[in-house]
Amino acid sequence: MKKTHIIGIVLIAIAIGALMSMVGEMSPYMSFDEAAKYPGTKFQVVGQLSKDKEMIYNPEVNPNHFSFYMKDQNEEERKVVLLDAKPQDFERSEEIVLTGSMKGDEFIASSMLMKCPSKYVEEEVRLKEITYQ
Amino acid sequence: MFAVIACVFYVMISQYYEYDYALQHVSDDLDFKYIFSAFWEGQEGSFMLWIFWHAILGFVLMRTAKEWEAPVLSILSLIQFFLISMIVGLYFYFGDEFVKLGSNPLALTRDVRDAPIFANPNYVQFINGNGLNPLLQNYWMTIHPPTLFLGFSSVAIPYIYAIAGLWTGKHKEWLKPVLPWALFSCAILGTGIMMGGAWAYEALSFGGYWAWDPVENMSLVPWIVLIAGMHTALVANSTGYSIKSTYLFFIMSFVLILYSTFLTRSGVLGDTSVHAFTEMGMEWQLVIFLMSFFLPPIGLLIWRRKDIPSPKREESLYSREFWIFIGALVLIFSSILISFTTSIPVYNRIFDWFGGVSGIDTSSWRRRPPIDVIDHYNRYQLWIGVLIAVLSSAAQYLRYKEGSKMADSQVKKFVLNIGFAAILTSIISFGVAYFSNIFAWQYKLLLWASIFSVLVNVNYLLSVIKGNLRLAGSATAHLGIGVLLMGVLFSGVNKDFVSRGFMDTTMIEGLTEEDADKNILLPKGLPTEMSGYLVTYLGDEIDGFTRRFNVNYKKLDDDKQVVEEFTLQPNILYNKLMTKVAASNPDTKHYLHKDIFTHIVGLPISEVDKEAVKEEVDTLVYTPHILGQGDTIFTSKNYVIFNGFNQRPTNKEYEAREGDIPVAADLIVKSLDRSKLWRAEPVYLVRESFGVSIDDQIEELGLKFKFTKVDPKARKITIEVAETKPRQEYIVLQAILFPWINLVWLGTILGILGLLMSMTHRILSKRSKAN
Repeated sequence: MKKTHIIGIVLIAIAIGALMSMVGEMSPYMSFDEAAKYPGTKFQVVGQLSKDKEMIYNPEVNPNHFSFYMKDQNEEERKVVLLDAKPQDFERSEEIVLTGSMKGDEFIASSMLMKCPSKYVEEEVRLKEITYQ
Repeated sequence: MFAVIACVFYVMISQYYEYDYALQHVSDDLDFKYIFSAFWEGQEGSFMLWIFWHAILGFVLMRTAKEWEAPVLSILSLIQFFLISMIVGLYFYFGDEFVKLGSNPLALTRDVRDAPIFANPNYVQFINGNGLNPLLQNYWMTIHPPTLFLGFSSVAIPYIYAIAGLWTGKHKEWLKPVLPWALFSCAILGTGIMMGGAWAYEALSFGGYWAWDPVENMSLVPWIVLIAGMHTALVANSTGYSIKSTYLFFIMSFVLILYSTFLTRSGVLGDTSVHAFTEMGMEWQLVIFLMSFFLPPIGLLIWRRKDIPSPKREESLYSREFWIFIGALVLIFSSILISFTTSIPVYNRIFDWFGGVSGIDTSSWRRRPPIDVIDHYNRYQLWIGVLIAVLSSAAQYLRYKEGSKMADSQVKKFVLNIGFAAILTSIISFGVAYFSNIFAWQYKLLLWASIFSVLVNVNYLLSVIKGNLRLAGSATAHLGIGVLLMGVLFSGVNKDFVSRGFMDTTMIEGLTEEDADKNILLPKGLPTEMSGYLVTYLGDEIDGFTRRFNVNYKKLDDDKQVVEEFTLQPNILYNKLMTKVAASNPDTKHYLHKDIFTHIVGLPISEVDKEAVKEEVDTLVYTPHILGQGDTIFTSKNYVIFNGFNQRPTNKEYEAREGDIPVAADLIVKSLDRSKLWRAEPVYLVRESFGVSIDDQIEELGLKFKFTKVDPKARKITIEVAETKPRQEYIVLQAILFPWINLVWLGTILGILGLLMSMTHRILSKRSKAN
């Protein structure tokens, strides 16, 4: 057997190992209910902002505390506390991905990603606005 | 093609909004210096930029390719053909399917959009362009895209040489001319990628130069594969080994460029990337483009595999070619790992499609990217960094075509240099790790490897080459890798949020301090202490749509004495109506050994959202009070005395007209402890027999007054009072310390310089041979 073959086999074995462990990290999103079963464990929850409920960001009290309500994929609504400042354009978000864990009834998120409507949609709206002025 | 580019430019400079591309990307108020950025902001513009570079490179090839000209240029034309198809903008029906072939940059607005405004023949006068995304209004955006696209298009050259080699069967002859191109491409694409990093660091507020965003990854992966290919090409050129791998790597690097184009432009990435282009309905066209340049060459390679020469004897364990090949494999391994995770949205798309076709419920197959993306990639790529740092430095002490046993003198040289470097590295890294708080053993290992790489390469440069600059390219580039890794390690591991001070009471287990304590509130004028700095928000200034905040820093020593003072100006950019914040731009204090990166994360609602403030004003509740002279009303924090009438109002809102009969109420406002005093003067007047009220307000207190009625008989007046929140002035600031981040840039520059030196050396030696 050639040396390159041996090295090749070793590399493939390492690659398979690494890829397997990577697949393990690609967990699907959890719901609030599931996250509540393991308080303190970090999960990713996806959902939509409840726009009718209150959003509180009071930097005078704590600049790292922003609370709002979110509905997860199962339409279950929970209070969320984001340990950071309120992001720009938050009200316009279409979808939110939270990373954090449940504590009591609240979901404590250490980070958040949000998806906003595309620029093109915005533009259509703008053009219509211009038209009706 | 050049004419089309010129047309689009002309349209954009002249702001002809009847053309949709101008409408989308420029506006009346856009500075001329950003016209270039606006040109390549969109899909069509960036495709044109790509085509432009191909045309330029094509000219160079015509002059230099000589006997390779025919095969090389024909394949380049084929690539050009596909690229141009991306901007033809042909729409037609193929059977029942509506097909959109490319997107025309000169499409008319009225053809693209549907709005009632187009019924007006003069509609152009009424519309203004959308303008350039404020995040892209940065000088890096003028130079980063052209460099990156020159990189992209130059990757095609090794690819077409590889195909030409397979096609003509001259499996060895193509290697020599391809090497300068491969080195050029590595240097330019590397520069382009790192310019993107520099832009992200300077203009974006995520705090860093690399976020493992899919768009970043997919420009890095082809570069890594190209680097691997360039190395195997060196081996193949010197020894005849690794020709097959070179073919494969060069083919794959261009295919990966196309794959990256597909990912960023098809809308597949959508929810996982911040800066992907938006969807344009050209997915299938991109897939066909990708497959046409992937399948045939791979087929050709398999078909020709028997013809490709390779030496009978295996590489020796002590030879340079063996270890270079291992290094190339490590790089390929790295690129596989990165693409594997980055492609998750693609798998999901395929699962969805499969589910749709087969009727099986595939929704549970879908996968999400890892929770902590940056940590995920760093954890795996750290090993690549360690291996590459060690291999790229030590392998230089080995010789090509070494026999199965190393010559004694060679052994002595190798052991002496490498062994000594290893011992010295261990001592240094032990000390550095201790003083710089690097604790995790993985990081210590990377520290060791990067210091080792720096030492070995410097030693190699000094002793072996003795200053012969023409041969110093590889060692310089490899030194760059070592320095870069060191910078990545220090600035990443020891990155520190300086803006601490507010501890969160909701701290829970498993949460680090960093999670909860990143931002600090700075009321205007109030010095606040954070991590050894006394920070004061001094005030702000507005310039166009930008609002700069002056934040003063005083560095304190242990005795609270000021040792250093500076002012930073992080800013925000408002949208065109000045009603909402569009972007927050950081400002950074640069030192040789560290950076302090600051940006605004929060402002009072009155500064962020003017619409909300207006809404608040519209819904204010006024409470009426009937007052005689000397009467008092109480508000929440003050009291108001009706002092008397004034026939000559001084209220600035009031403009006197003939026939007016004005009367002002002189109101004295005192704080409850009587320490402060303000005056307000709402006016009531009769104008053309109608009663008109002119309001007055005290902004500082949030008090608004309306004077709505006069009852002359009872000598009483009606004053309506409303209270808003008093105007607040504060900023919420985030400040991050990046130690030794300059090593990242220095390493990059060294790496690129090394590649360019090698390229020049190759070109010159080829010329001198030809003469």
